[in-house]
Amino acid sequence: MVSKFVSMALAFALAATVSFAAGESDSAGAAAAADKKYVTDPTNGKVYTAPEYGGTLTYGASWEPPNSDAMIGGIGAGSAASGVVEKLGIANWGIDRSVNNLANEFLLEDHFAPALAESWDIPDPSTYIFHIRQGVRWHDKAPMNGRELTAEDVVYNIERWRTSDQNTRYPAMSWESVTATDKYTVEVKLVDPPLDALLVLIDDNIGFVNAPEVIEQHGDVADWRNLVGTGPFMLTDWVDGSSMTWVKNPDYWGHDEKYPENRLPYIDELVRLIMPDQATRVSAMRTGQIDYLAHNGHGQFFTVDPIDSLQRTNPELRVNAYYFRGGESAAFNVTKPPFDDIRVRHAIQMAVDLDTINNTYYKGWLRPEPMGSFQPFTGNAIPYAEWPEEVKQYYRYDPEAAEKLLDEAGYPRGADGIRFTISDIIANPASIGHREIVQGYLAEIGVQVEIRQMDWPTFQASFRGGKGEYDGIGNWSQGTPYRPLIILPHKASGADNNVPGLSDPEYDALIEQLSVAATAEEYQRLGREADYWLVKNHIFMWGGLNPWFNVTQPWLQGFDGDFYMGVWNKNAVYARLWIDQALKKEMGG
Amino acid sequence: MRAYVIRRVLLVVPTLLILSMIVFLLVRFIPGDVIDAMQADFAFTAGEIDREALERKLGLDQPIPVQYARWLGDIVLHGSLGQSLLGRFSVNEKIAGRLPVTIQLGVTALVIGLLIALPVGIYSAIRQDTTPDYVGRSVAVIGLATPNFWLALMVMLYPAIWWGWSPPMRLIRFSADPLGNLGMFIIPGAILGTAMAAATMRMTRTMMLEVLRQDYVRTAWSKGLKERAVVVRHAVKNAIIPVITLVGLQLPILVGGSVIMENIFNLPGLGRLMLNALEDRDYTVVSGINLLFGSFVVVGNVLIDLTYGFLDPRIRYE
Repeated sequence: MVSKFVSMALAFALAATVSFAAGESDSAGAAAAADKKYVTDPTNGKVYTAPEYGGTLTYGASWEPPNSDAMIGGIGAGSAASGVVEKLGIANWGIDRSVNNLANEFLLEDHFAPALAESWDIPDPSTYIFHIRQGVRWHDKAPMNGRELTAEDVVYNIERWRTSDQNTRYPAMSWESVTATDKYTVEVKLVDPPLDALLVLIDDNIGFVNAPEVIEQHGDVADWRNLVGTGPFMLTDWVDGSSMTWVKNPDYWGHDEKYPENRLPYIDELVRLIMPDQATRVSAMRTGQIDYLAHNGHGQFFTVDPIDSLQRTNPELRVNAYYFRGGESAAFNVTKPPFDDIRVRHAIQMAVDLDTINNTYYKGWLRPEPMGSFQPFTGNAIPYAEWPEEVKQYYRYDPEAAEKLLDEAGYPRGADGIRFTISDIIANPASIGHREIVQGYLAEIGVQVEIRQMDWPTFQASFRGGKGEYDGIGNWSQGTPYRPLIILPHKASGADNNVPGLSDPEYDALIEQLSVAATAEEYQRLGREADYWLVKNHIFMWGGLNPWFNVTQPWLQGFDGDFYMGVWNKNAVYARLWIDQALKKEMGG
Repeated sequence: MRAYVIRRVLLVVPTLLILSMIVFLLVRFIPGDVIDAMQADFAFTAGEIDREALERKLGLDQPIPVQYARWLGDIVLHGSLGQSLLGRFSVNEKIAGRLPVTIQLGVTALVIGLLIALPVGIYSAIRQDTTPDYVGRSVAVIGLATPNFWLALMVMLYPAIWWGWSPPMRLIRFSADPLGNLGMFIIPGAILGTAMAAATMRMTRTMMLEVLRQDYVRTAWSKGLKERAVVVRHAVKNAIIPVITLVGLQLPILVGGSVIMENIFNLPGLGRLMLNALEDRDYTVVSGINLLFGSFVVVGNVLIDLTYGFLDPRIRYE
């Protein structure tokens, strides 16, 4: 009896202690919450805790940049160089997100903000004048030691890019001259420039302005130790294969486009943890070792299941779905049977029920409405609603009609019920789930599919120059956000990225006209026309616009799934995010 | 003995030469090249690649024998494994940076594996058909049957869900924090080591059982020696030779396993470097690492061969 009483007394005492402690913590938390200041994001109306300075932002990345010189490291080097070196222009972080959500790679001229160029003029169609921002200083690091950026520095870089024999060079343009007309003015004269020449000049993947003295001294900036820039961060450590660390440039010239009174960057330190394995990245996210697992770092998720799992165990994490490109589409190899016959291409599309795939595999996240090379919001595609019925009918699920088309095309079912066998080349491992479902649908109309997984270089070699050596269908994105001149010429005769192996004089002529279009209207019209030609001739199998997911910790503020600051200008976005450090501490992050 | 050692060492030279040909050619048989890897990057950008110019610049336009002669010439004359085709970094420097991680992981796995395998194998043998023997053998079978990568993924997954804990993801240098560094390697080392321990333990037990039935061991017992002296001084020394051979054979498996462990536990070793280089078709990096791994195995086996004579005086090198 006595022992029972003692036990009850102890239990009561324990409960009282716990509830008192909890109450104290609650009231402390409430006081802290009351002290907190909030801001409304002018671009999307969302509320965040007020910007604050300090802290470390750690992001997970699935790969490591090859080096820090975009010209010799390929486009991936931008992941090391961006944030340290800058370009003439940058995506406007202050843009109304209903105009551009910056969760794609689509930027029109008026979606840019000036960066190293304070402004630009186009006095005639062949002349581009850039007014270089005054008072921008190189980092206080040898050999630049805080020298002021000049027009000569920009000219030096453009000359370096356009005469490069390195891995990467400027897109072919005819150059007349590149000159510094005074300390802060650069004049570029082109011969018959393409319509997107300005975008190329202010935001190409090798458009980063590097320090001329460094290149003169070392020949390049491949060694990160030599990287000097004008940007918000300085790369101070790179542990090969493990991590990269940037620290804040205290003298950075830039201000937050959303809150112009705030100087950038907010964070003191940026860390990239290199984590090739998804399970490792997920584990790091669960345990708060990283703050950001998203597009910039290629840490985003391509399928729904890991997101479901994360949300079950860590409901506090923020998840942003976005529709980047339709990665589950596929190119038909039109150079050989059976896909040299359009009826077979129609039949394959009509055998797959994307609505059911959406409701089951994607749990409602897929956008099945058909499109061609471009997402309609880009203005470069004719929306599905406007397609004529004779085209629409071949993008609808209708297995009976599909079977009829295959019979007509001369592919009857054999005694075993099989009409023919094709390969489905999968170069993106995340596609396996979707493609296995497609395999099941095609089996129902008597088409046997062998799924063959290969890496990109192997697949690339199989269609290099439009030779179309692979069998059947091959992973290729549709519904992209890019400009017509980036995507459409890939399907012209002999082009290196001509996956379907298309060689058609009518299409080639359209591309020829597109590349010399004189006005924006003509450029867009020809782009839509060429894209619709591909849709009408069913060169690609539409697989739906599948969701990708960004995941961040709740204490990371200012982020709403938006990430695109220009071509490979990845790290620039982190200068504009901040950490709610009280929340991070409270949550044990 | 000296003649044998010289002969054995000289035999290493043609072996390495053949190895160099194999590692040079193998990677070139994979479809696609480094320019294809770059080209894939450019599918969605305005940039372009001049294949012919790049092939010339990277030396890929030359016939394969010429490329091989240049590569081998650089190794023999300058000790250089060349420059990465993609990142343009020195392969020697890159390997030198990554090698300590792979060695530390391998050594940790080896030490843990042997610390488990030898005592358990010996104990199982001297207590044959008792409960500890059955337990030891069952655990060994489970160890053999459990895939490394699965165990590693489980370690990565469940502690994070149950206790909010995961292994450290950022390389901690030994010089900066010795305990933190050991903590980083202990789990992947243990996973690799236990798999290795299973086979080694079974071999140790079998060999010990065989040796314990030998006449000289019976003589040792009959002389009234203590169990410890019989087992350690007389039995183990003779039973261990095939075990050492097995450990030598497991070295390449350890290297292979390290590729997976490095990937999952975020250890920047050579395995991960090779995996990335393979994806990029960075021939010089892949060939360099393969040559190094192959050389380790060749030299390791020579050393193991030479160890036999020290362990068993009956073995004569002639």
